[in-house]
Amino acid sequence: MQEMIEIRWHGRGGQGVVTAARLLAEAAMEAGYFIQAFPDYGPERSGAPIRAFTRLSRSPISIHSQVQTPDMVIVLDDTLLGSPLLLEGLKSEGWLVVNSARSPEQVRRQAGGYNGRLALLDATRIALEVLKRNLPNTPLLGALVRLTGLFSLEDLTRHIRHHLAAKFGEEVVRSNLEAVRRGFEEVWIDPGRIASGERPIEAVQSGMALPWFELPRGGLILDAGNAIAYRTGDWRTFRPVVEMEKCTHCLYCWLYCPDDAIQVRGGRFLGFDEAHCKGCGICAAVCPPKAITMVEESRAVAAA
Amino acid sequence: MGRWVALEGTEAVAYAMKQVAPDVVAAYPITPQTGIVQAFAQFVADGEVHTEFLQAESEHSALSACVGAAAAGARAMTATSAQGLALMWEILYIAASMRLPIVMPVVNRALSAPINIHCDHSDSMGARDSGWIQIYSENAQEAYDNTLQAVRIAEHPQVRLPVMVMMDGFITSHAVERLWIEDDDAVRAFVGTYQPACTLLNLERPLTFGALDFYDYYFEHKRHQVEAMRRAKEAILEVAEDFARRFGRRYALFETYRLEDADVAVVVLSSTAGTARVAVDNLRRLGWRVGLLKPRVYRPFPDFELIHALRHVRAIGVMDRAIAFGAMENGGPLWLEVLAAAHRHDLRIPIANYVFGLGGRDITPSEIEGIFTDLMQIAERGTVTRPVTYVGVRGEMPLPTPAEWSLWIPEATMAGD
Repeated sequence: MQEMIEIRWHGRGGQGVVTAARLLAEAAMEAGYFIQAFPDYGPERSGAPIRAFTRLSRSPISIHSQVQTPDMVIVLDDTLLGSPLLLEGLKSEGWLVVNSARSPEQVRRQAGGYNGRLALLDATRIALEVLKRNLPNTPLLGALVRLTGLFSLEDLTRHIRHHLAAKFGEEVVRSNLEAVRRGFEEVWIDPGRIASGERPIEAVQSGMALPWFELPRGGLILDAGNAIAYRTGDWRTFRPVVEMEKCTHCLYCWLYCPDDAIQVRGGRFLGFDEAHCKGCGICAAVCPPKAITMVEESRAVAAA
Repeated sequence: MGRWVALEGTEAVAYAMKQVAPDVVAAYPITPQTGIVQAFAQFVADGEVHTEFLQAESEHSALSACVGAAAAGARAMTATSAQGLALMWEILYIAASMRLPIVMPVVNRALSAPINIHCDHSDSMGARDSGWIQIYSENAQEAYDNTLQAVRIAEHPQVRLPVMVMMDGFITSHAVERLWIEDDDAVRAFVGTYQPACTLLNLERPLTFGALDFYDYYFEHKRHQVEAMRRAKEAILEVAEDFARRFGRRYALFETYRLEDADVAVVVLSSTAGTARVAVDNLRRLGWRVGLLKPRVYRPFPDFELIHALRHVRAIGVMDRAIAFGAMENGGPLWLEVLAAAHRHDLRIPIANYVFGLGGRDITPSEIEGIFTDLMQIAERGTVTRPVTYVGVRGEMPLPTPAEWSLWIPEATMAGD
């Protein structure tokens, strides 16, 4: 291994991005590495894009800036693939690792024609099947063990047993180990067609907007109400799906929706404002006839 | 025409507030500020001023209410002391960062513990980096004048920052002094009508106030705030100029007394500057060339102007009514600031610190004469041997007296050190 491996994680609030960054680091530490794992917190919003970082090194780590040129970009949610910032700084020899049920071609296309090293794992499906919960981190860890070769599956097994056994019991340990094993075996690895030294994709400069003297003073926002231009619907990991034949147009959903994302006309429920529904699930929870169910966003998109 | 009146410091400030007639005053009483709130509440109750007066349940709420009122476009004021100022802490920064022109008289009082109601500057000095403009007053007249000017400074279009106007607790706040009160109409003409640039209640142009601001913008907004503080210096002088034109009393960033030909100088804030003036006169009668510099504006700190005024002296004594615990030599904040300014502007002379008067401990002309004597020795020696003296503290080595100066031989003292 090179002296230090730097990883940037992308996911959405609530998906365990920060936990994943930490889990990998802890497992690596038990295998003898110096580690660092830290989040890049924004407002703690469920579904909002968030990032986390992991550094693994053979010697003590003194750098405390964010990872600028990652060796690995790990994406927990494939709806983020369109973001131009996703691949920023990724080394030409670096890996893009995506939790997705889509084909490699689809993923490459979505990632702006990315043709570098790619690893794919449908970690969400494995997690739902084995752990019965949407916790893609665990199978992903198995995939990373295989991909990086930083430590062995045995190291990881020991780590998981050590951390979970006392608190959750043997059954949970067994299912987690099974999830890890399947991640290790099912990860799809494609070295891509990248020549050495070539950048896989042009890095986008995340340019900051205005100089200080052009900003309104005191942090004032002059165009109030501009939240409508912000597609908070992109934060959705689950989306509400309605069975219209069950809907009684009671408008409980409209009353409770914190984002004003229920469309109503003439006192009748019409549908959801997809640009602003964050997928919080309150409408489904309060719907008296249970006409609304929450469906995982990526699967809903794939089905459509 | 104005008139001479006999008022306590707090009453003088309350009177200034009545004449300013802010839209909103939200306050919570605390000794020794109580006189301000009490007198102002009386003015409101008697219908002498039509201000929305709010007695909040704490100072935190009082300043919060002022923040809301000022954001709504109102002229808002409050007043406090010591623990009250400490309780306002987080809102101090919010008021400054949101660029709200709130004016707040602060009656300086020692911070607990041990609990103490008397004067020192540990309360306002603690808030020196909160982004507020700080103006210190020597007496009731200055407290009155500074309160009037503070309104104009805070609302100055190039500034838009909150202003604290300090006076010494009890020494000034509870002492009756003769002062000149201006005519209501003249004051109204001077302070004018507040023209808020942006208001929360403007339905024609809705705005968002106090939004979340991360690493992509926060720093730029702080830089913007720096600019306001920078421009404040000029605005303060501009307002002082207009004040002098209308009322005849002249103010600057600081005031000097017999400093022009002085060998040694003392720098001291507020009421003690008045006492130090007596000490200067006493020693001048003995033929000593001693002088005084009284900073009026502490934030923004007039570093260049202050050092320029002190450039000819051989030693400077900075008197602090507060301790910056754990700072260099456990000295006072004013000393640290003067030291830094001297370094910044290449003034290489001994600068000693005299911490005095904590918890209201009286400071007398003879003690200040002791400080001058110490400074004469320092000037002669060319170096400071005791960087910080805690004046009058039992168990500390006392300062020399002027009588000892005539007998003093530098070598002997050096050997004695």
